[in-house]
Amino acid sequence: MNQIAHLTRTILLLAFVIAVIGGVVYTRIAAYSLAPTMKPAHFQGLSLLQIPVVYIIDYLSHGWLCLLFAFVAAGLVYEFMPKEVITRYMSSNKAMGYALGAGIAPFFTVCSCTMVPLFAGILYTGAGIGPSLTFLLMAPSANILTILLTGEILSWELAGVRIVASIIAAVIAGLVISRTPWGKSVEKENQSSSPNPQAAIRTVKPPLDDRIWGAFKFGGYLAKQILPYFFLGLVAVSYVEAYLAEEIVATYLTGIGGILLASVIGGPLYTPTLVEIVLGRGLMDLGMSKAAMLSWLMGQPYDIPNMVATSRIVRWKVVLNYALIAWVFSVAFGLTYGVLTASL
Amino acid sequence: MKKVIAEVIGPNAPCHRCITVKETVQAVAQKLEAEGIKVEVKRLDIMSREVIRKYGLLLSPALAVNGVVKMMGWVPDKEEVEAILRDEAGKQQ
Repeated sequence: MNQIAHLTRTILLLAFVIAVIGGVVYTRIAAYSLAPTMKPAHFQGLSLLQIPVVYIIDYLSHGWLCLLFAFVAAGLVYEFMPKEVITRYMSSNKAMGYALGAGIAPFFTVCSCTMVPLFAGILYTGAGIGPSLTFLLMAPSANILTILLTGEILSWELAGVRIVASIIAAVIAGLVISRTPWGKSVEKENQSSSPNPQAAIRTVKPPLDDRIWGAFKFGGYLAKQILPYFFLGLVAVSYVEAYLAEEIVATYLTGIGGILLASVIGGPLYTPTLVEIVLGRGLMDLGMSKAAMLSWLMGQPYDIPNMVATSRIVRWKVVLNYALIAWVFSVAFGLTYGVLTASL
Repeated sequence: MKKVIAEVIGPNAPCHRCITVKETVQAVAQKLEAEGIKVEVKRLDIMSREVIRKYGLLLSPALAVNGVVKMMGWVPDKEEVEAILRDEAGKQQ
């Protein structure tokens, strides 16, 4: 009896997952936009209170599927990623550390409360400052939620470029800092001489339906954390689109100056996750260049709460250093991208 | 009286999910106490060196029972915690 109940639940939950994925695939085939479709001109004639309401209704009327998919996918990926891989191999050797930090780590860290502890853990188990920093920089700029929403709301091209650029920036920042004197001193303090402690882990795996349900619960938890800010962001975006003159955006957020400005304001804005994506959409509708947008998105790793949390584990010099490197890269990639795609 | 030590491992200040795990474990501990299983619930900081030396790299929140990490990166419900704790107490016979 119990087994039948488990089986039915598993089937129902899987059906829901398939329905959500199917819905997203269908919108691709039907070329149906999941991003906000209102353009600045549509806001004319609306009153101050109507603007955010109309914008949010417009967004949700087709964006709900995209959000649902993003949170379901984030929950599932987090749940079914083999977590032992990272805890076991992260500190095995340097190259492996960098590869894992840049390649797999982003999938673990949809939530910032797992990111900084993992960073500390990687450092303290002796993986070295380089891979730890690669992990720390990679996690916020290319986690599963950000990539999905960047792709849906901004463009898949930008999402792709963002991943590649983040990997390069994160690995180089790790390599550079591990060679500086203060980076080396941090590494020396954290050299591990203890035997492999992994023997003390025997995780209990719950049945499949509980795991899928757990994944949904985690997705729901993320949604609860992120969506309030996301909606506040939408309200802000609706006013930006309605009142910010296109000339201002065209003057300040295009060209080389635009990249510099975007890279500086993008970071602090990151604080409430994902707002930078919606806001970016609004600004792009107003004429912000794609190159400036990339710098804007890459500014994340030096957002302020992240830096404060990290500085408690490593010293300030290291933090300032990686922030500087991240900033240089956000500008460099913005410029390169702008030149390559002729979209400065 | 059987005795089990349950350690809930998460960051300081605790995040929402770690608080949930600790509350679940405490609720189960109360229930098991009536059946003669004493569960000592502790909270450990996932970012402290001692914890990492002992358990290695963990995903938050994690639950260790009698020095063995039983789950990590996941919020279990009461039944799962109860099963883990009972299992561990059963080994002491």
